[in-house]
Amino acid sequence: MRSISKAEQRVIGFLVAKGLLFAPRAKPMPMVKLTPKEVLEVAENIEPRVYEVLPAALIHFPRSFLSIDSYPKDILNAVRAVKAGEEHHPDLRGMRYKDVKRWADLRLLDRRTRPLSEKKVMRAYRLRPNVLAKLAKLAKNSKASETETLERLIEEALVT
Amino acid sequence: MVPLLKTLIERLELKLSEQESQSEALGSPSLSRGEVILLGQFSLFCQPAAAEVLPLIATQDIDALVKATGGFESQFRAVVNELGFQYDELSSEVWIPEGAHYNLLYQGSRFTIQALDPISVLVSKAVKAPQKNRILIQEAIGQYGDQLISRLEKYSVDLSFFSVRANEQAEKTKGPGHEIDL
Repeated sequence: MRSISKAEQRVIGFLVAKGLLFAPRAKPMPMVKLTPKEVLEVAENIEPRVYEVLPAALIHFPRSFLSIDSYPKDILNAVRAVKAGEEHHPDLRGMRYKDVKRWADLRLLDRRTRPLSEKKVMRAYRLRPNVLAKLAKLAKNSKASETETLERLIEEALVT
Repeated sequence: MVPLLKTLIERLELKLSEQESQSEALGSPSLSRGEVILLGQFSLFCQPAAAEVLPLIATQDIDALVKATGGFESQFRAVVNELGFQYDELSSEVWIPEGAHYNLLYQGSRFTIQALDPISVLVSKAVKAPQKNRILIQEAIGQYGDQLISRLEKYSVDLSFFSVRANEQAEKTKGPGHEIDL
């Protein structure tokens, strides 16, 4: 079997360490900082599945990737689409978009990384004081936070 | 037997045995039985004849056909998740080429596990997802030779796609612009 380059060890090792790829022969390398050059080299010449999990990796572990802005446009567009929760988007270099998207929504091995669908998004609303007071009262009665109370009310409203 | 498959079998046997004990205690004996046929990359990992010669790297999903009774499928999925994998809901859509056969990996009283033979897995990949599997297929052609090539030709697979890519890569790696600074 072919020899394993240092770039392959680092890229595959990182993705294995984070639970995005499975490769029993690879040594997990969770602490590396990867350059675009080595990531693209491995994805193009060694293992195209790197493209499938790359958007998820860039979203969840941005500090492990150097110069993210210099990645090719199609990859950055896929990252943006996954982050925005878009249902449809062009495939990424032979990888189906729905597969690219699902890895961002996976509960990863480190248990600290939240699936994208569970990440909270900040929004600002202006509510009348009497509505705010009612929200606070509802939250207190149900022993939940105001955010949890709002989420529950919205979910219930959609079910009924 | 490869360690991952061994762990999967041990955990599944344990879960089914616990389920049986619980339902016996409640007076309603449960008979969870199942047949699992592993497909895709995971089946290659589980067959030493393929795993030892191919450079296997996979995403964390398992393609498998599952025939089950009495809660077997939910226990199977639970074990798959515990091992850090996801069961692919679209497994039944995996295309299986003509002439495929299945290798028995485990036979117990509660369930059996089989795997699609490696050549058929590779043919399926080359026909349905050539770009994603181009390097694996290149390596596999080198390993299996005519045994694989004749099956690929049967489905009019463009073999030059794999060899042309191989030549392109050889050229690319010669250029100074593609050296990796580490």
